[in-house]
Amino acid sequence: MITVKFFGMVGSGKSIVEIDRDEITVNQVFQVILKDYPEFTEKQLEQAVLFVNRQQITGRKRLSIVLKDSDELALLSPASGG
Amino acid sequence: MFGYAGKIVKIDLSKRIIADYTLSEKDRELFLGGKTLAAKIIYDAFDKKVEAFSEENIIVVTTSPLTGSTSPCSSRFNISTISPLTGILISSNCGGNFGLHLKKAGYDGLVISGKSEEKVYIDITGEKIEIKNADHLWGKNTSETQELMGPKNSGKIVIGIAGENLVRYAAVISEERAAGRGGVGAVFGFKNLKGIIATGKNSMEIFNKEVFKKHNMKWISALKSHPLTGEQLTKLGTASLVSMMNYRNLLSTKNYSSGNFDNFEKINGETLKKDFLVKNKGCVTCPIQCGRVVNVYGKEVKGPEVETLVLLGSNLMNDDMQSILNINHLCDEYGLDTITFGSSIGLAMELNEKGLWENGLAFGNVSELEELVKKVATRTGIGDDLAEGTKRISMKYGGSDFAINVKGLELAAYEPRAAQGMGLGYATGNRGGCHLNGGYLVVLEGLGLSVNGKTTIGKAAYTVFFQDMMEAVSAGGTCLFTTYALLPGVIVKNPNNGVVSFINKALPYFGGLVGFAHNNTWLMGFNLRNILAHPYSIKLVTGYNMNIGKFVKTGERGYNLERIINIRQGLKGSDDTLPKRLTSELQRADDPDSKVKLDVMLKDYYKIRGWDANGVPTKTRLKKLGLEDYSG
Repeated sequence: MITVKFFGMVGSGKSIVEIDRDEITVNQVFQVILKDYPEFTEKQLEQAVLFVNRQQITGRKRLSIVLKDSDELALLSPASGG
Repeated sequence: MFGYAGKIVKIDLSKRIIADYTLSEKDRELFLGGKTLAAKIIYDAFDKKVEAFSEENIIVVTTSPLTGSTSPCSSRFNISTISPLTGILISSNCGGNFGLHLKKAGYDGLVISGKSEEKVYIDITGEKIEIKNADHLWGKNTSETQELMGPKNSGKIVIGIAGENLVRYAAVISEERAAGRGGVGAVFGFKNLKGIIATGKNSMEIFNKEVFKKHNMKWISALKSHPLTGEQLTKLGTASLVSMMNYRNLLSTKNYSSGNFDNFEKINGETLKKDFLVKNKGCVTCPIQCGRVVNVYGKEVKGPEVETLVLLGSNLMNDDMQSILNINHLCDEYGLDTITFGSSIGLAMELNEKGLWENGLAFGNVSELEELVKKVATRTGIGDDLAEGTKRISMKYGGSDFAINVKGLELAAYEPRAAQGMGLGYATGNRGGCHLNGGYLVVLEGLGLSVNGKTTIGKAAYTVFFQDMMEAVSAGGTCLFTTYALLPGVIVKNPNNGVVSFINKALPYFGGLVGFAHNNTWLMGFNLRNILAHPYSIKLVTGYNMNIGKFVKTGERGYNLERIINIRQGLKGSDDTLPKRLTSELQRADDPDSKVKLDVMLKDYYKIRGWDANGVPTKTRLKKLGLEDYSG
């Protein structure tokens, strides 16, 4: 089970999605979310700051990172100032 | 006189004399208003060190040229005095509507001296100023005091029971907003001054009314369309920071022993919005509306901002949101600064854990915290020690290495071991461990942009620049949150874009250029009204020839003047430091960079500031700022 969490303005209120896979790339996670949850937009996911198991992933390769069972992917909207 | 009511009044509580305070037009232009003008008045009032709790100490309440001008986010006012918590200058800035009403009553500021023999409050109705008996208000909380003091359509500032009992971090409250930091409320209490009420019908003259109106519309539109000020702050409040802080190792936890809290999702902005928010609320003239309204004890009251959520939440290992809401409200009612209160409790919990002070307090045990607010405000039981703040608690019980203050003022919510620039800002801030007065570099280091928080490169220059910029924004009278809109929205919103990623990586290396620009403000002798709206607004309101360069220089002038006052109060360069926990203990054992490398940055900081090796402003720098006649 992969846990995907959303913070800030990503998802407009949806806080968590669980995906029942043993292995999946970040990009594939995005496709699942866009297909199953209409409240998300492609732009939101593209712009989000990403953390896998609390470590930030950046750059183009971030989308091809493979998540495994019990991993946590967090998406935070970039504008968090206050 | 454009942009000003034109009058500052002196009120001597000992002799009950009320008289005009004379300020030259030149000084008005040099120091503008707010904390900077207050520093000028406090510098002139003393010629030697002054104790906070003494008749000699004065309270200076100031507005600014933009106060009451209809400029966005301009309902701020400032209270400055010598702090009973730090012994140096404190300036405490507050929203609400008091500044607006004070200016409508015809005053740019108040200079309150002496000490009244009886309990009093000050009633300002236009030209008429009266010192009235406050026996019927004494012992009352802040909301009841404001209700009893006068009608709703007036501006009020009051202290609660904490101020009456000289709690060293007692706040002054206006509506539900707080001039919270540094114990300004305790100085009110010492002077037997319960509060001030102001009403009036004066209107302020604007130098270029038509252009100002258009400029305001553009500025409001820019704030509303920015991802920070128009979306995130509006929808989630400052509480929106909690989650990102946790992921970036910036969330102060368990008395700053960690930057992460396992249960952060129970106290973040998303949970606050989903389960507790009643509605948004904001100050007069503010398009951001960052304030929250929540339910506490069956009433709709002000909700917590990020500092309070962290200091009363993760810092105490408290994941009970309702308890945070309750404690926040009680602190407002008793008139206490939530940051210093939370930090003092955190230190007490750790001292108890280490066997240094048996006080019954334990991390994660929040059942008695609400009762503890009352004990602190009334100085009852352990509340008497807790009312002294972390510096004095550690002097009595030990633990100075993990008493989280700088110069006696407790740090804000951002754990600096993951943000070097924020660490430098805390260490050098004129009022002590304050994030805003420290330059708030954490907004570049992970909370707005994604500049590497571990590097020290360029951080000294950015810290100096942002400290002075914040100073100038406060002097002008605008809320500091407007400065977030300086970060281009397109960069903020696209952290994964290749160009933006390059900018984030490159920014530290532009430090040299930033430092050069800071020290050669003539290079910025123009206005970029769509990027930095503040100096152009001041120009339109006052008629002063204000531009970006002069604006930054005004901030630098204020920062140096405050430094000089602090040196006169006994401050030394060695006070520009951090608690050992933050400079010597690693935040994360597997990361050798997870501590603040202060010494490296401090040397550069002094150099850019034009201060000597002991942190004293040089004569050359003071002359450059028009402060050649000022010295510590």
